[in-house]
Amino acid sequence: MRIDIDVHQFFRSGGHEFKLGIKFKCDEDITVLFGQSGSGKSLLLKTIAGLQTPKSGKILINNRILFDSSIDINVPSRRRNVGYLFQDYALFPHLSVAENIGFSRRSLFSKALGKDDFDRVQELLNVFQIEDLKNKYPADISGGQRQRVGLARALLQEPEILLLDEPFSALDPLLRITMRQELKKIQRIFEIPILLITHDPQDVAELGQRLVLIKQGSVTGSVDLSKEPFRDSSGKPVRPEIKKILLSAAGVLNE
Amino acid sequence: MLSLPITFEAVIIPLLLSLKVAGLATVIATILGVFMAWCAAKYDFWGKEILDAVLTLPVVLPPTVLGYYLLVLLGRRGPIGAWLEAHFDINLIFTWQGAVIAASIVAFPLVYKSSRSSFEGVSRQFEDASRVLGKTELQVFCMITLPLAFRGILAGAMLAFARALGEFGATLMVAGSLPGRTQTLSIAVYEAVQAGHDQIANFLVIVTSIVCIAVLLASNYFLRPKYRLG
Repeated sequence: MRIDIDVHQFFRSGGHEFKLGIKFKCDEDITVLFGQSGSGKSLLLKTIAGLQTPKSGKILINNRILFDSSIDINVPSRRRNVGYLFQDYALFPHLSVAENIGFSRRSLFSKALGKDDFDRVQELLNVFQIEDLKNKYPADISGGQRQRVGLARALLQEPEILLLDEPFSALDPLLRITMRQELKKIQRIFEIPILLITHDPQDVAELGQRLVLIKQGSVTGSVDLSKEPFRDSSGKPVRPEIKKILLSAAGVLNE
Repeated sequence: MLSLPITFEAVIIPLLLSLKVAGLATVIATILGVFMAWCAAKYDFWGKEILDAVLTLPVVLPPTVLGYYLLVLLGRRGPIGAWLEAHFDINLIFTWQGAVIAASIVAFPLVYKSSRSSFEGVSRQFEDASRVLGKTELQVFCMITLPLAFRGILAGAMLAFARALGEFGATLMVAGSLPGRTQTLSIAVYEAVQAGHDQIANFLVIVTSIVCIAVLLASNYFLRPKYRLG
């Protein structure tokens, strides 16, 4: 199983209580977690990356245990080897495009990379067609270019999974169409499983092979989108109108 | 009115002493200030804002009050002074080292305040991104947090140097005004005016002003933005 997650966490801030209890398994190339803002999607992604520690549960990626409260395992972020694309990409503003991409392989004292890593950066610059930007700084490139740099930076460390936090929300609608196609291409080239969170039904329709629905901190459904008619986690075909709903109304979907 | 010729002893020695005292004080204030600022920005603990107020106190307290505190603490009968004398045979009162301590404390809040707001301005997302990219906490600090906060820290250090160079009240109380030993530039100006040595006073004032302007120009030069954050 590529992704096997069962985490529980409890938050309290300013009188509000929020319970996160998410459990799902999936084996598809691209899994889309779909839910409204505030449903706990981002928290879940941070938890998988080790930036948040759940109270209890387990996280397995490609059968490797990243977290398991029952046997007291909590692998630190830096050893989880997950690729993470932040919502606004979090490119380091003081480093050039090439330095950003090479960041995971550089040492504390020098920005220079070893021969192999340098070649890998070149290769990624070519794959993402951003070779001519390599000496520019993040503030001087466009949104789509920033996303390519963010993906290239995450892929350099050869992660076991790519976690994408609303990857297209910062882009204009036309660019979204292009970048979705690019993401599919990247998935095929690098053969890496992708877990993507979104509240845009279009992302589900165009990218999703497995759809996991999240509402108020828990999973309300898991649908196999790879073959028609779509089947839910218990194997029963889902209602035929669900695709329409997916495409049209994000707000209605979870009702 | 009597006027002495401008001699090496009257000008260069106080100038060098001032640069030495201010330079060392800046190094001490910067190391401590950056460390405390980083702790305050990163950790939440009980009494944090009280500690912040205490650390900022030297900038609002009259320098003479500060000097008095230091005399009480570092003097022969003070808790720190007595301990230093008993164990290391060190006496800080009326020494240039005492002047360094006074200047460090006066300059400390300038580095601390500026560094703290710089550290707090570094988005947590950049630090999280580098953790996911395999970096240890020390690497995150050295490769992300420190470079992104660097301009604020440098600005604080430059102001601290200028403040330490101009330090008068606390230094006079702790280190006195021993010509050639603890008489810094600003104290020498006071002594020259009191003694009616106008020529020396004029010259010292001009030298001090030039050094301060040079520091401010240098800080503007170093603080030019090298990249945009937007």
